[in-house]
Amino acid sequence: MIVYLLLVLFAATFLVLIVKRDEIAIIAILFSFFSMCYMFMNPEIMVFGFGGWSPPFGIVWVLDKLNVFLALLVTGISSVIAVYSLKYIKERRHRYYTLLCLITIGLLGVSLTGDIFNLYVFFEILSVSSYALVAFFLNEHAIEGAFKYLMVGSMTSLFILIGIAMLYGLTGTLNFADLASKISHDPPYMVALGLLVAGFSLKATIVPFHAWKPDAIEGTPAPIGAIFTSVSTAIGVYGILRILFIFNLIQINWVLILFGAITMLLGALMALVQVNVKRMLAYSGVSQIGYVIMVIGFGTLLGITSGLYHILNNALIKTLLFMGIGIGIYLTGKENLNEMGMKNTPLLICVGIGLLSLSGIPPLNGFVSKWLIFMASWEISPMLTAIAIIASALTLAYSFKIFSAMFLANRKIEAKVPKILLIPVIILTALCVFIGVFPQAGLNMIEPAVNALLNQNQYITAVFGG
Amino acid sequence: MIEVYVGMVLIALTGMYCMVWKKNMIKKVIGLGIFTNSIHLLLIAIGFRTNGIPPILTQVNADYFAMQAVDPLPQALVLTSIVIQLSVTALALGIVTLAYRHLKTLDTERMNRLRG
Amino acid sequence: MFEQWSLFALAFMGFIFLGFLIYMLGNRKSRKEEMKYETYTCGEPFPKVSIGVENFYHAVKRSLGIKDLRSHHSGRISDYLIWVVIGTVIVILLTVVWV
Repeated sequence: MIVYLLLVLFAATFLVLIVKRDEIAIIAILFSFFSMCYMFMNPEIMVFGFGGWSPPFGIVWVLDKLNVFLALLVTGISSVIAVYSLKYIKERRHRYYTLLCLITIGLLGVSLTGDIFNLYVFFEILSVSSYALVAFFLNEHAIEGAFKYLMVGSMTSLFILIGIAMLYGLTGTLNFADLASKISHDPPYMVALGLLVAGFSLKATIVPFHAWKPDAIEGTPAPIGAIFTSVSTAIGVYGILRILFIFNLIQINWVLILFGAITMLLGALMALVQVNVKRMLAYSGVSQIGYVIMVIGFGTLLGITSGLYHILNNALIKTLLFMGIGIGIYLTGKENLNEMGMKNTPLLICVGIGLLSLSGIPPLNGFVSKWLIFMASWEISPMLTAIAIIASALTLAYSFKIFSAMFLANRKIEAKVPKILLIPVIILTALCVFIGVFPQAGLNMIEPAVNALLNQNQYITAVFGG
Repeated sequence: MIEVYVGMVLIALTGMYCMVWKKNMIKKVIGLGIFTNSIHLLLIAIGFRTNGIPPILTQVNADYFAMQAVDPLPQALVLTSIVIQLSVTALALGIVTLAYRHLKTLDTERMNRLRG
Repeated sequence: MFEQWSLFALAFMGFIFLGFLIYMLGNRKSRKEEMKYETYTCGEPFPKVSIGVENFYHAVKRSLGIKDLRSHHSGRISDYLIWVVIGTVIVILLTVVWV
């Protein structure tokens, strides 16, 4: 069943280049989103062995609740971006859609797999198509951003490969469930854990590994900036979560708390003084992931719930904001905040709701996850709550800077926004408000995922017993 | 056996030094290739067995195959990884060519228009 | 914890809407009196200047250590790679010692 999904996506990747019609890619990505919705309704853990081989000998894809939640998020955001780029990208659109299909395949593979080398292969598919998409516009900024991302990204992918090699040498298996039953906490295993966490932290933009992000997002088109900040970072955080799950270390981890706190403050401080709007939103993405990493480091039930909820909310808000300013760049042609004044009421409402939600203002979804984060950090230490509140205040500060530059400027142009660009923005705004007013809807998706993460025995018996 | 692991660490450090310290873009790509090859050496060395036979099952060595054959799984991993390294190197050299065409330089010290 | 949340959120949005209505009602009468308060510049034409967004947080740029942070994000790949290597070594050391 899953094989058909992969076949459809791979076929769409090649057909878009040969037949030269873009709608094939959009239909394939929407098909993957609907099949992930269908998989989400199934209450048990599903195990697919490729080629009929049973788990420790063959490659398996395990769909437990955490995997399906992330796959749903990934394909949903991808399909919204695919519809949005129909009008945003004006030339060489076929190559863009090929690469977008490849990124979707990579993201889907990383979220659903149950084998650690398969994780590395799909992670590389995601990374290589990301490098190509950063260099898409072929101007100086794009090439510079692409080379920086390529160098740093391939170095940390090689760290992941060293970690995998060490784990194979120590245990003799590559399957997640088999590794989980054979791992102990001796120093060689801890070195492998450190290498793997450092490798995934590059995608998840934690502090010493975040420097590629503003440069790459400044060179890439705005919808791909949305995919990098919302979904690619979510996959990085999922990688760290899955590695900690295998090692049975979902407990209080001061390493993650330290790095998370530094990331929150550094992202917010650097975002205050930027002039390019995409760069500012890139630093904002870095700051929000700092919240998630710090809260995952707590290891409590409330902590992990709020971390996953913040991943969901961050994905929705960042995609909304990148698409909104993408409309601004499409209409004015400029990315500098000094020259981006516009006068358009639907865009003002949507971007305004997005920025209010980012800062954490009550009836919107940002407030729900930030409140849970504050409550989770209050149990551990009040100083961490103070750091989180300071970072929220800085978030409000630079949100106001973006809003004032776009809608309260002195020179405004008045232009009509094409419908295809505006409809995804309105859909995401409606989702933000809906999750804000009914937060139980988000919690219904996240609580099974948290229970799957904290329950290692259920995973092992599902893979081997079934 | 320890010499192989020490050699792997030295090659990895050489590759990392090349990637980090050299200013020419092509030298950085060469450093990436050196680093990747050291990890392939590590993977194959993990699957080695002293006095082992090649992992090809025939009718002649069917009895003692499982006890004497070298582990074939890391060799499959290395084959996959060589293909991945190939595509990353091809993309990197493509970007280097584009950089020379648009930026007229291959020096990464002068390539810092995006900063801050 | 979230049982009465939806009621609270809808009440909040209702109050915001009410405030918006009151603001629009009050705006109608005072529109005419706005013309009296122009700036007096002794008969010279008053230039319409606007401060660019670049200097929005001008006072903060020199404090809070932002200058040091910006100098470290220098834009050179060698610096980024050195940060990655140092970061990996620190993560490995902290993982072995603390966990």
